[in-house]
Amino acid sequence: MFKKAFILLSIILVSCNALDIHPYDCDIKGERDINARNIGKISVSLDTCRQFSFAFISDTQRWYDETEDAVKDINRRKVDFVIHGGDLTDFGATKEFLWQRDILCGLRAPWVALIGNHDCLGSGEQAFEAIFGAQNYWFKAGNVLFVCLNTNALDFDYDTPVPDFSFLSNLLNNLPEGVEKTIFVMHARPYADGFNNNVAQVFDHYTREFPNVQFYIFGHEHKLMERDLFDTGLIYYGVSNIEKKQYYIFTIKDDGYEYEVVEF
Amino acid sequence: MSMRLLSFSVLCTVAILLANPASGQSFAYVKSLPKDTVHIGKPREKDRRIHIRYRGINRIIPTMNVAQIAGNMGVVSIGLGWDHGCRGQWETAAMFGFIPKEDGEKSYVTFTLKESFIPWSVSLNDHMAFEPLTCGIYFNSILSRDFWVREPEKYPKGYYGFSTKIRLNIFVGEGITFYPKREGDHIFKSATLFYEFGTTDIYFISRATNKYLKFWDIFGLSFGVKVKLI
Repeated sequence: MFKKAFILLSIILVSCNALDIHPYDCDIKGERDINARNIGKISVSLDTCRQFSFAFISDTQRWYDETEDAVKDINRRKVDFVIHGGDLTDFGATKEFLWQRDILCGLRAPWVALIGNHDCLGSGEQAFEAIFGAQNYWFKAGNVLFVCLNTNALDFDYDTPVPDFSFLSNLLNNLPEGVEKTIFVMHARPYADGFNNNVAQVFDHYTREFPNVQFYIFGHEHKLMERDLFDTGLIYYGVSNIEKKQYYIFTIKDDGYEYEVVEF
Repeated sequence: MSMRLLSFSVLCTVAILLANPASGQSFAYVKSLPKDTVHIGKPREKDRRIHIRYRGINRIIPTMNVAQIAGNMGVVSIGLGWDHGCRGQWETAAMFGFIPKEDGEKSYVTFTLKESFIPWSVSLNDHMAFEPLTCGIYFNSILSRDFWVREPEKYPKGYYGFSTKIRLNIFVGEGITFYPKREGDHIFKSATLFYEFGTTDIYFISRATNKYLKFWDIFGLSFGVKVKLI
């Protein structure tokens, strides 16, 4: 009798997640491998498209209400996918990742997330990898290659290459078929405080080896920015944090691109 | 999973109880009081707690063993405690907890320093008492170099502005205490089963500015057992 009651109680408690083990316990309940699954959806749905649009949000850490509002706003618009530029969490705590994931899973369009510097704190890096996947990854949307990079060098030691040029060179040597344009996505831009600024020029040089680079997008600085950082005519677009209730919608066209700053 | 954890924690408590130097002392107490103990407080009708403590240097001898499940300090934590106050309303506990690897890189051990305030004890019968309120705070620290108390010097000053290593927790709860049937036959004075609702600083801060987060998002339940030796 007691044993049954106890087992029942345990099941209830565990199922409603009432037992908090530790903020950094890295105990991932629910959806995982979000990036891989959504990348699959994106590449299928935009397979032969030469024109599509995507939303770019970033720095949603500890602004859950605003993130919810952003999701509602994005769902009202026609976008083919959404990119989150990193800093899902403020403290790198496991539950923060889960809260953000659960809100962002309300997006009707497929979405992917990058790792931000705050996401690297504590056990955050492992939690990110379990929920989203690799820190450096790429995907193809129509004829455009999106290269998503961990650029938070300040949060790593020299034994971890950030940004990872081996990843870039492997990708460059094995470009997926049908790629005609490239867009780079990162959390911290070159010359920002978290970037490894010794390789800022190298980064510029190397990334321009990719086919027909369109532009670069980043977050981290919590403000809208639009800069031609290396005088190459290629623009780095920075998005503000979600608290400011702003995000970008980029539309890729056959002959260039358009963008819009959405306020909600 | 919780079933296994509970039996594990009970086992640990028994083990630590047997290993504790104070258990021998308390045994001596129930047979005949050791000379270095003093009584403080007189019996009351409902609150029959009497604080008995060691004198002088012997005060560092722990007076209880504690085991606790969850509570933002690990799956299971075990440790030692001391009571103070004329009825033993204050308790200090030092515990080690275990965080399993789960999806992380490795498992961790944590250290907790906990201060509880238990203002009342309501005697139900000769062998049972109910503590309608326990509350307090505890600091928890992950014992690992992957976490820092202060930001490493590589960061600009105040870059993150918090510690990944030290967490401050608050809790409220209740307990029920069992006293052995016949004094003198037991090596312990009392055993308390308790539960607590608690939260940790970073969850609390997150809730403060977001309606999205609900009570159960930031508060968690925790269970434990305390075995008082003297």
